[in-house]
Amino acid sequence: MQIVFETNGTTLVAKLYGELDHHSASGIREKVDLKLTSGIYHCLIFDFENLTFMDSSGIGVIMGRVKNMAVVGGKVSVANPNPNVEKMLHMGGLDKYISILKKEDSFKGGMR
Amino acid sequence: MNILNEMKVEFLSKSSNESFARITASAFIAQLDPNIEEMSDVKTAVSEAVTNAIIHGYKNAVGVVTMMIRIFEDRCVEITILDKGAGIADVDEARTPLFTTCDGEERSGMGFTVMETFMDQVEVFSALSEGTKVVMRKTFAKGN
Repeated sequence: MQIVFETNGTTLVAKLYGELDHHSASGIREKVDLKLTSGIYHCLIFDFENLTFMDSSGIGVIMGRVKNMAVVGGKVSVANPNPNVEKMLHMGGLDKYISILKKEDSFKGGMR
Repeated sequence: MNILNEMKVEFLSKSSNESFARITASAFIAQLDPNIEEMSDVKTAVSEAVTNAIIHGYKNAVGVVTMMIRIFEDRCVEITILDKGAGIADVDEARTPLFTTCDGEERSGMGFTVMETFMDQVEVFSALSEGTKVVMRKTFAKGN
């Protein structure tokens, strides 16, 4: 599992590559939290375009970051999950606490 | 119902074996030519059951996890995940959504709920200090 960060002002984008399970969760959690300790980010986006698998360990990772970001009034979003990852997000009830962003959303206007 | 094929694999309760178990299970059931969603559902359910065995059964100490898969004539797959670890005091409580014994670790408490949602049937047999056996079944749609 690889993680690549991109920043844009107060937005931190965490791009995940590979499979997010209990084994990879702790490393992801540590790396994201290290970035967030700076306190400058108010918006955390997990980009799941290259995430091929996620089990309930991923729900734990996202929920933990939602709680941490809420302390500073920030929010968490998930972008571009594949259908199986999205199924997991809905099942965990996570969609009540996060926004799910999709690539096609930004293209809708121009594609019609 | 006749058994068409059967496999058994044993591995140490190391978290790096969670992906090994998923890949092994998906490689074995590939002979049924499941669709992408069925394949993903099985991988996820296996991941949850094996993670439970590692975290809760063996409490991150080293033990042996056994995975057995049987394929039946009617396209039903039966997956058994077995550990000889701590066992579960109250299985009904453990199966409750959001219930978790790991407060500090950000576990979602959704493991059994995921297994129940992604598989057709989940049975849990457990005894304290003896271990836990999870038997999951799913019947795949008819192939094209």
